[in-house]
Amino acid sequence: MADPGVVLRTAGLSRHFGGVRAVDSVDLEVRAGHIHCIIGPNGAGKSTLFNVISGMIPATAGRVVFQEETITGKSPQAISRLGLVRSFQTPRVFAAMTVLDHVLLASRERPENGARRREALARVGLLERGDMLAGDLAHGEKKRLELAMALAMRPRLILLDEPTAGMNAHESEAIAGIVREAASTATVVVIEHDIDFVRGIADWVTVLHKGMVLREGTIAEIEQDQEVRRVYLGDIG
Amino acid sequence: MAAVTARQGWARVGGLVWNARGAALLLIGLLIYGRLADPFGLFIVASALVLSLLALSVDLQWGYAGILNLGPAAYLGLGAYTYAITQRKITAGSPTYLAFALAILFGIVLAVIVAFPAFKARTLPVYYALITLAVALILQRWTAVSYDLTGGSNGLVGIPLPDFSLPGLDLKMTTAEQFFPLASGVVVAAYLACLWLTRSRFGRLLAAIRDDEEKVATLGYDVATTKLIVAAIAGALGALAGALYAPLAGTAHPSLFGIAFSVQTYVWVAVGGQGTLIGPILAAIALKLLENRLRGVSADGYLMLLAAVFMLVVIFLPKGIAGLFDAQAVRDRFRRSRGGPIALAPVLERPLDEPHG
Ligand SMILES: Nc1ncnc2c1ncn2[C@@H]1O[C@H](COP(=O)(O)OP(=O)(O)OP(=O)(O)O)[C@@H](O)[C@H]1O
Ligand SMILES: [Mg+2]
Repeated sequence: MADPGVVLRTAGLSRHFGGVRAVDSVDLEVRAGHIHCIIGPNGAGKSTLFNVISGMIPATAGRVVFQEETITGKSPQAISRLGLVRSFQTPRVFAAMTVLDHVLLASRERPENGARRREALARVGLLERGDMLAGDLAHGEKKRLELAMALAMRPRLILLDEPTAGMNAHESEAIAGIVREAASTATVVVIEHDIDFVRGIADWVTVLHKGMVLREGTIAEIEQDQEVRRVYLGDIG
Repeated sequence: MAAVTARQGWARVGGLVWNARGAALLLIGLLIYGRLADPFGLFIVASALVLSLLALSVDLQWGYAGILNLGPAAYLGLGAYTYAITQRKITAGSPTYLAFALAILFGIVLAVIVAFPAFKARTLPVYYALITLAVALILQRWTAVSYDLTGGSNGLVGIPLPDFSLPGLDLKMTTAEQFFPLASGVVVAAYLACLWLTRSRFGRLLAAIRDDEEKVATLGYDVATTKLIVAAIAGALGALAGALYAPLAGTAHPSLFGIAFSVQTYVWVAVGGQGTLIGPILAAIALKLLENRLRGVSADGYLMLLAAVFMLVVIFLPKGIAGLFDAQAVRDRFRRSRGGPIALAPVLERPLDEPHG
């Protein structure tokens, strides 16, 4: 029954806000080593899905299984320590803390060994920014710092919420490279609106609509799908 | 490699010395003052020093971890009464060490009892603020009515000075002036301990928690336990302040739990500079001396002046007076108006249940 290739599985996962079914009975399977993209219109429930999986808000129903272990109801820190790490749609950095200290906090390294820290910063191209306060970074850099924090934790599974939001094509291209590289050591789930970006990295795509899974498949299959074109791709492409 | 490590080692030692320069200056200042001042001046500064421990406890919670405890005086009263009652009940030998140990222990226990449910249940920060305020008021009421143990609203008087004598070593305090070196030593030691704590990795974690608890939790840290540790350390510091204040003042009185002491502490922290440690200590000394000068002239005048200073600092110096000497804080001030000592935003923020993003 349990498929060893599946790192993360949700079963009947729901989260309602009053009458709003933000996430509505979602069954998701994320395969080890994949870059799994989640797309869908605004308000489809993508971020809410991440919030429930990462333990930040409780599920209304259903469960989340990570590496054969049910994690529904666990605290965010417990889930994070199991190796399931997330980033946020709007970057959440500590304004008065240096860039280096961010990755130090995330990596739990002793200040004198900096290997992991520097590696994480180098991977996102922020090595030169190490001594800057995170509050002074540009928006794109803050998003990259979020990514560096996630990488510094050496996770098994990374949930990235719109890592390229607000970036230009050139910056997005760099993020795609970082995500691909991250996928060599971890499984990555990415929420994205930028379909070109998705086309470049996705092994598998899930389309979310009104809290429910509308379609799943390879990017080619998804782009062909009439229903997906109607509710989502049509209006952005 | 070894050379690099050695150089880093020296750099760290150098950094520590540089960071501790405030302690050195404070100590030198106190030594000079101790030589020059009259006994009354020594008494005033000693009490300012003792009460500045309470300010340190508030700065640690509020300035570093963003925890708003509105009843810090609860620990002042608790420590004072613990010292007084221990000295009164135990007549065999010298109960001084026991009195201090019990005060600190009770301070930690009270802090954990109050903070544990609030932090573990991830309630809104404003609840913790209100609970701490309520606890202080309840303890004040309770000491005022339980005559047998606490002397009721008259409080306890004739509290003996500490006697730190050990076998073969006479360290009995006989005059209140001797409190000055004791208080100076304790405050400098407490300052150095807090400095070390806040500059450590633990301190960085606190700063992150102050900014965004939820984000810190997603990095795998146990936010509730971290805050609990801070509250416990602050409880110990506050109770130590009380245990020193009781013999210095010679009395333990229900007003020690009162709003006035709590407010005074916050004024010192805000005026001196939250998140600076040294600022609140210096503000305590300066404002206590000022109060004493002006009290003879006009007690109301002092309060009005204090209120004016407080408002001016809150509006114009988010990092307090100490912030004026901190290049980083100056840059911050010009860059963004975020924060300020009366930053209630983190306290009144959204519930933890609703993450943004
Ligand atoms: N904390 C909350 N309280 C109430 N409603 C919420 C909350 N969080 C999300 N919602 C609602 O749930 C629905 C899904 O929101 P969500 O943020 O998950 O969408 P999304 O797919 O991430 O959208 P976007 O592409 O704009 O980021 C929306 O209708 C939103 O208003
Ligand atoms: Mg979203």
